Amino acid sequence: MTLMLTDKEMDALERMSATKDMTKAALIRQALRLYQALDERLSRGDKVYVEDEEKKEKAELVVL
Amino acid sequence: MKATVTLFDRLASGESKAEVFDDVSLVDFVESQDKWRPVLWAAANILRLSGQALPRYKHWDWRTKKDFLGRLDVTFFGLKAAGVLQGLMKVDTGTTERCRTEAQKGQELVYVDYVETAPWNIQEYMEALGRSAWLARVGVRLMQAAVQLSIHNELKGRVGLHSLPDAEGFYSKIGMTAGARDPKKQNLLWFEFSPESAKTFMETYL
Repeated sequence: MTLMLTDKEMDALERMSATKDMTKAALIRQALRLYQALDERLSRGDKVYVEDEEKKEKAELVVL
Repeated sequence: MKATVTLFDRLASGESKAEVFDDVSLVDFVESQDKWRPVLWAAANILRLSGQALPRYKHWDWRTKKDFLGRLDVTFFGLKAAGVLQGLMKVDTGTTERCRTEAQKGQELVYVDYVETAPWNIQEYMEALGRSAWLARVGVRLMQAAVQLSIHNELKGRVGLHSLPDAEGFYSKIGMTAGARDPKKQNLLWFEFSPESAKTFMETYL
């Protein structure tokens, strides 16, 4: 499988890969795990929120 | 994934081979409910009558987790010996939890959400029933599978969990570092492996 990424996407992948000390392949696998988990919840009609614990603010996470 | 591991058979006073696998299915969940629960409830009844602490997980029903089968962010492990299911574990590999101890705070880990050993392998419960416990190290082998999954996912062996009170001694013994109690999780105590403590754990229990 060949994965075509834009420069911007590749930059993000390389930065995260360095920050997390993971290979790009491991990072993409992790992204897929998260995407599937989110997509499944959203497909069921659930809403996904991110919460700022200090400010007690909640924002709905919208995934396209 | 299938791996052959060694357990200790207390009844035969010798080693016993077992298989750890990750293609757990509803059949395994049904087996745990049909075969484990009656033994656990029987032991719990005797413990209750003698005023002793009851197993906190006696109400667990693995069948309720069937919707997680096939999800990429959840891995189930089972352990079978002598053709019998001896242990089950649910591991979350998304980012539901992060490391909490100071040395590695915020780093990603794999999170052991549920782990259970068949009741006939737990000395306390078998003693209550007037029987001897069967196999030792089922929990160790399942925790080693979690460490291996963490290594496979390039998380270097980092594993975390919330421990039930009666399992805290076990997680301390295998070298996990205790964190704080978590008021959001019934005040359960947090434990985690660092890459170093995970490596020591894997080498100690060969």
